[in-house]
Amino acid sequence: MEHEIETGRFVENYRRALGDAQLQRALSAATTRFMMGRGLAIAAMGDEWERLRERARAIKEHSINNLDYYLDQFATNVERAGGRVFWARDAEEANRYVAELARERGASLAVKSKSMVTEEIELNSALERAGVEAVETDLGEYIIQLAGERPSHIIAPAIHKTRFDVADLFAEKLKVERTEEIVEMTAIARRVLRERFARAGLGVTGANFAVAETGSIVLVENEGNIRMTTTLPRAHVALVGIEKVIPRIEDLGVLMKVLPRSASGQHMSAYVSIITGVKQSPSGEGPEELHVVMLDNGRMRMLANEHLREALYCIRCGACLNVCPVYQKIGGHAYGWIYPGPIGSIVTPQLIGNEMAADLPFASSLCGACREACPVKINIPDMLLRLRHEINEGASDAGPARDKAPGSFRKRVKRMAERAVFKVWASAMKGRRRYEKAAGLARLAGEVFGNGAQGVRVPGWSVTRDFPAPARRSFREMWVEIQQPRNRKQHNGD
Amino acid sequence: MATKEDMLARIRRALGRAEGNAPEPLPAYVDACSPARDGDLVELFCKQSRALGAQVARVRSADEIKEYIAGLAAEGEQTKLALSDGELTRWSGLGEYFSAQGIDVLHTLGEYAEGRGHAGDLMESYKRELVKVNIGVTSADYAIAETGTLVLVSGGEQHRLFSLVPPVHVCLLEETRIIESLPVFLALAGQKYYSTESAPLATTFITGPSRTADIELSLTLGVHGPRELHTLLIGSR
Repeated sequence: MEHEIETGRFVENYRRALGDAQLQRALSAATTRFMMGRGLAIAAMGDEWERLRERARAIKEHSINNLDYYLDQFATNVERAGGRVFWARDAEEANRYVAELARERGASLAVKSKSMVTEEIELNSALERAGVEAVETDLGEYIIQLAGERPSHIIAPAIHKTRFDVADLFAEKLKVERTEEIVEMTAIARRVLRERFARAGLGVTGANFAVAETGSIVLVENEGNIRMTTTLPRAHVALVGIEKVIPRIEDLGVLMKVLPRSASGQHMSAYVSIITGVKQSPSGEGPEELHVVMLDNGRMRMLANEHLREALYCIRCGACLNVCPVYQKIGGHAYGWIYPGPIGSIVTPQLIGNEMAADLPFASSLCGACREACPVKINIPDMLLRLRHEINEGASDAGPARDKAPGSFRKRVKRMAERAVFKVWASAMKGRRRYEKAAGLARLAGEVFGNGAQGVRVPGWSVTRDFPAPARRSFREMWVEIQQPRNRKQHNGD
Repeated sequence: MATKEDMLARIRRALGRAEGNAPEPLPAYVDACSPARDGDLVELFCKQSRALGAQVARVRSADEIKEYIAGLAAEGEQTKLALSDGELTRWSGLGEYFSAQGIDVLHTLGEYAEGRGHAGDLMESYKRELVKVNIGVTSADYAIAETGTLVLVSGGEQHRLFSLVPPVHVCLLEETRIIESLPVFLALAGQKYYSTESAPLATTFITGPSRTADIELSLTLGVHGPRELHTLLIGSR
C-alpha cells in the first residue's frame, strides 16, 4: 500500500492524536516504559556512560567526515567477500534494482525485516507493482502491514494498537479463531510467517551498521526474524543508507553498548548478526547472493549542510522520541512521514524538503531532553532552530521541488506577522529608554484588551500559550523603590 | 544508475574535501569499568544468562550432556534432534547415542548434502526436515560474561539454522571460552577472524531466547527463534 506524505497536515493530525484517548494511554505507557528501562540501564553504567557517548559520537563523526574513504573500502570488501554493491541516488533507483532482482530470480515472495530505509523508499509498494509480494516479518511491522498503516515508533511500530485491535485484525485477515491472548497471537504470527520464510525467494533487510574494514553488514534484533530473513531465502538484499558505514569491527564494542541501552534499556539485544559475504559452497548455510544497495536519497544534501550534517550520526534508537514532551503527546503518525520525533523533525525536512515539512521543526519546546538522551550527542535543539530560521527566511531552495504544502499561504502570512512582531520586540530590547517606553505601551494595551487573570487574547498565539497581561508596575520600578526608597520622588519624575 | 566513482565524487564535493589517503584512525578505546573485570566470569555469565530467561547447567562429562538432552527430549512427544558438526558436539557423542535410541537426528546441511549431490532443491528438502526438529544442538565459540551472550562463529561449524529454527536451542560451551566483555571479544575477533582473507560468513551473538514486546509491550518469548535456550557449561574435558 502506498502511503501519502502527510507532513503538510501536521496540525490537523496532531489535534486528532490529542483527542484519541486510546492513543494517549498507549503513548504514555510506552514512552514511560522505554524511559525507565533506559534510565536503569544507564545508571548501571556509572561514569562510563558519558565516555561511551563521547566515543560513539566520535566514531560517527569520524566516519561521516571520511565518508568517501570508508564507503570505498566497504564496497571493495563486500565485493571481495562475494557480494554485489549497487549505488542508488534515489528511491526509484533502489526500488527498481530490488524489483528487477526479484524478477530475475523468479521470486514472487520477499520476506522483510524492519527497516526505516525501506519504509523511506516505499519498497513494498514498488515490489507489489512488480508483482512481488513483500511480507513484513517483525511482529509489530507485520501487524501494521496487515492493518495497512504506518509504524508509529522507530523501535515499537505497533504501540498504538491494543491486544484487542490485534485480535480483531488477525481474525479478519488471517482467518484464524479470535484470541486476545498475546502468547497465542504471537504463536499465530510465528506459524504464518514460518511458512513465508520457507517459501520466499528473496530476503530484504536494512543494516544497523556497515563495517568498512571487513565489508560486513551488522543487524540487531530481538525476535529472530532478521536471522530467518538472512538465512533461508536464496538471495539477501540489504538496503543501507550511506551514513551507516563505520570503520572497524572493534567500533561495534562501543556502538553495541549504547544502542540497545538507549533503545529499550536492554544491555544487549537478543540477536546481533555480523554477516560478511556469501557462502562459498552450495552445502553452506545462508544465501547464495548478497546485494548491498547503498542509498543516497537526499543524504548528500544533509552532508553538504555543515549545520545539519550531524543528523547523519543518528543510530535510530528512538530515545529522543521517548523523552520528547511533544512526541509523548502526539505519537509518531502525527509527524506525517516515517521519521517521527525530534530527530525526524530534522531528517524529514532534509529528505523531502523544507516546504513540505515546514511545521515539523516548530513541533518542539526546545527543552533539550532529546540532546540529553541521544547516545551520539546530536545537538537536536540547535538544528531545529537552524531549520526554523531556514524556513522563515525561505532558504529552502536546496530541497527537492515538490508541490507546496497545503495551507502554505496562510502559514506564510502568519510567519510574516510573527516576524514583524519579533522585529518590534528586538528593537524595543535594544535600549533602556525604548524598552521602558514599550513596556509602558504594553501595560496600557494590557489594561485595554486584557481580561484580568486570564490575560490577553492574541489570535493564533494564545490558543496554546498563556499571554498574561503585563503587571501594573514593572520589576524595575519596584527595584528602584527597594534600593533607594528615599530617592523615589526623584526617579519617578524621570 | 550511479557508479561508485560518481557517488564518492559527490560525497567529496559535499564535504568539501579532496580525494584523500587513509584517515588517521581514532585512538583505541579502553573500557574504564567493566563489572566483569574483577569478578568470577563464569558466575557472572550464569547470572546474566538466567536474568534473561536462559537456563544454564554446569556439566562435567559427555554423559551428563547426553542425560540433560535426553531429559529435554523426554518432555516432548516425538523428538527430532538437530546436531551441529562442531568439535564439541562430536566429542559429546550425541549423534551415536540418540540414533541408537531410535531418535531421529538431523545433521547439518553440509553433511546432509553429502551423497545427495548438489541438487538444486537440496535446500528445499532440507527445510522440510528442519521444521520438524524440536531441539537444535550447537556449540558456542565464545561467550561474554557481562551480558550473558553466546558467540557462534561460522566456519568451524554450521550454527545458523540449528540455533534459530527449532523451538529449543541447546548450546555447548567450555567455561574457558567465557571472556569479560564485547569489546574484549571484538578485539580478539578482529585479530583471529577478521584480519584474514576469509572472514567468517556469519558471527551470531545470542543473548537469551527470542523475544518480542510488540503487542502492548508484553514480553513474549519464542516469537521467531527458540522459546528456550539451554547453555551447558563444560568445566573440563
